[in-house]
Amino acid sequence: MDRPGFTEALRAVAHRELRALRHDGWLLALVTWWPLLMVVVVAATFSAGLPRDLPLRVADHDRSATSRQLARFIGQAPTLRVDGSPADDSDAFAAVRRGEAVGLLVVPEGFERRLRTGSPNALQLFVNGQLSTAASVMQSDVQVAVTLFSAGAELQIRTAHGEAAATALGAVEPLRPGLVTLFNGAMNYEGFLVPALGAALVQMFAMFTTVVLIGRELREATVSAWLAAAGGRPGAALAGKLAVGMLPLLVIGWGLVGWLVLARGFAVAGSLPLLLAAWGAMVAANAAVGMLVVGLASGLRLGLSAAGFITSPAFTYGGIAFPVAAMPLLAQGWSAALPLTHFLRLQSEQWWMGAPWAVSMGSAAVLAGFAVLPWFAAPALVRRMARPAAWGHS
Amino acid sequence: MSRRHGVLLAMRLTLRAVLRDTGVLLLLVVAGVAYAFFYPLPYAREEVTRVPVAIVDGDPGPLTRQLVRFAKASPKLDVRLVTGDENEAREALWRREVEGLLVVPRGLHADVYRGRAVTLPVMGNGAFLLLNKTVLQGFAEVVGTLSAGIEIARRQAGGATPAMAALQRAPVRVVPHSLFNTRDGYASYIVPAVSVLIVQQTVLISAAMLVGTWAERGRSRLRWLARPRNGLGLLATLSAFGTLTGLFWFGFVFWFWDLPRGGNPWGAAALLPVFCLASAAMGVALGAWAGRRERVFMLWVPTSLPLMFLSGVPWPVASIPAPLNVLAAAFPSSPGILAFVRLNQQGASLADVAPLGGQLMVLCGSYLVLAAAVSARRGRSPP
Repeated sequence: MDRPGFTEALRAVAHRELRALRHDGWLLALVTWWPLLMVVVVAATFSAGLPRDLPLRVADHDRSATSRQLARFIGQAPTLRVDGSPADDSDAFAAVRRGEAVGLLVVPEGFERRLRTGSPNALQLFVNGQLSTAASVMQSDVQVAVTLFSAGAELQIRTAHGEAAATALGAVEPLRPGLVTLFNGAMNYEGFLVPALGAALVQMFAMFTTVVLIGRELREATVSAWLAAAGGRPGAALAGKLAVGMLPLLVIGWGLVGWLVLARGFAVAGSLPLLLAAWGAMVAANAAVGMLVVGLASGLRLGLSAAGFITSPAFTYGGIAFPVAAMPLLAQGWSAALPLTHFLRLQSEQWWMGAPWAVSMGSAAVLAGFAVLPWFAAPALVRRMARPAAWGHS
Repeated sequence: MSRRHGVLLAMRLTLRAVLRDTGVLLLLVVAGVAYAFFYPLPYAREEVTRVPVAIVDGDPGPLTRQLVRFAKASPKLDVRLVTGDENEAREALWRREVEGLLVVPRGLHADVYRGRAVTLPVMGNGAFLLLNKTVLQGFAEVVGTLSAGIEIARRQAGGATPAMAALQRAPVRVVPHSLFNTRDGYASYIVPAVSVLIVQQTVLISAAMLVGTWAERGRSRLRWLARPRNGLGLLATLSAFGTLTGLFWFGFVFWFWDLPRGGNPWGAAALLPVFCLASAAMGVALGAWAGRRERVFMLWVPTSLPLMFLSGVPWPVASIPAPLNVLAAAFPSSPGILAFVRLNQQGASLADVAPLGGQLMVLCGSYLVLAAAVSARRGRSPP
């Protein structure tokens, strides 16, 4: 029997796959522009980068020139918008409950007097803890504004008492923390979340596409024709199919990186080639795992359910929104078993932290392992799929 | 045969179809229960504590020893490394052995004794915003404590001028309070919002899968579905499953993970059927349009991520570009997530969420019409 060479078989399978996609508009859309649309929606959602004009109610019980000045000063922060004075505190709380305001700052009576006489002064700030992002931005920006305002006020008082400005400054606050955020200085949410969410979407589609392209042959009972196109080579049969399916996803992933770097100005601090290679490894890893999943499930339906279970909560376990180290041990184990987790770690190190490439080699090796090891099972998987018993189930 | 009897019969037939279809049954019943334990698990500890940090000590002495002691006592920080070499700390940061550092500048002691103000650089890792926040807060508290101690010691030693001695140091403090989510926990914030999305997606995808499977098998089932009483019967059964899933989350799951709950349970229970009906009707329209079961799955499962971030909970609605807000308004989850979080966690009244409830009603009506129209069209057209 004259077997075709591997490359030839690969090309034949890829051609067969392209023909099938041309004939099935739905499938073509699901593996190309639908994932692109999802990534575009997520990228556009965060295009503001930082929340702006978060509504803050100020309940001013002092009604003095200084308290009005303070409210104006806080309102100058671009992230905050001071929304008029509520009639009373319960009105303001109701506004937070209804979602009309994110927080409420209560300025007590005697604020100005206490500031003048240097007696303790406390402002109560209530933020809606169910809107975590907005609440934490509001809390830290109100804190900064009030600190600046009161330091200015105190400095004025001290210099009015005849102190030199330099010693007065030291007396106001001998030690100050200079808070600096490394690697994403502006704490920009677009830069922080979009690369990670884009990767989460791409890994989901990578596994789904793999399961659908292989599972379709089982469902339509066309496994024989597929293997014939590959000249009976299991590796070429799978690789030719997946090369076609994964290419659009890799283009979307690289396109996202390009968009964020070139159009949005999020420079890659570390190695761009390593980052791009890691995107490739991440797509390949999810395809390889998807191949195992559909092969073991021996069917499209079960394969899709399993792929959904693995990939759709992957972002939750990925360590970006909530650090892996803070998870319970069981969750840490599941997290480590997902290719996405290792990719996200590498992406943060290379994109933001500018770590030397050697630092990321561990994550890269794990990704490569996920991408390569399942291929050793390819012959067995194909043998399993070649059994007519596995065909024709819807 | 009376009309009501027709609806009841359709409800029974739908129930039988659900029970016979393993995939739909898994999604409609099992997924909601499995996710109740699987999804909140990573966030079970709610807070990030004891984040590993380094202190770069450029001026060893009594003050820095005290600083290290305070930092070691902080519940937010875990001091893993005290070194005089800033490069060593940076290496540790890259290797993720520490997530932040504090730098004690050279000449700190001398400056403090001369009464100058000294700034201590604190660096967090902005690639991980939650860790960053914890590191900055933890070190800010430590430095603040030490600073206050120095100032009090100075004042006891006698001030520079009588006027200054009379002036007690009292900067304005901001005392933060987290409303509704009193522990400021991560699970308390995200799980209530996600639970609503889970209810929508299990109902919507189940409905679409069921109808998509029928569409594959020929036109007669779609024609059956296009008759109002049959369609309503199908939607009633699927919405009932969804409502039960929702009650299970709002009642049992929030209690099990000890999340904020019980603000306005009756209000939430009243709005749930409307929300589920809108989701189910949207699913029927989607399934009839797609006409194939697995198309539905690949089309809809990935929408969970964008829909979550378009809901207005993780990211403020006002910061989302206007066209996307228009797009988001087409999905029950957008008004649903905000409405149920306000009812369950914030104790809002139904009147407080009336605008959102109104949106859900409008969506419900629109998708009922759309589902009927698309099913009727499928029922007529050749497959």
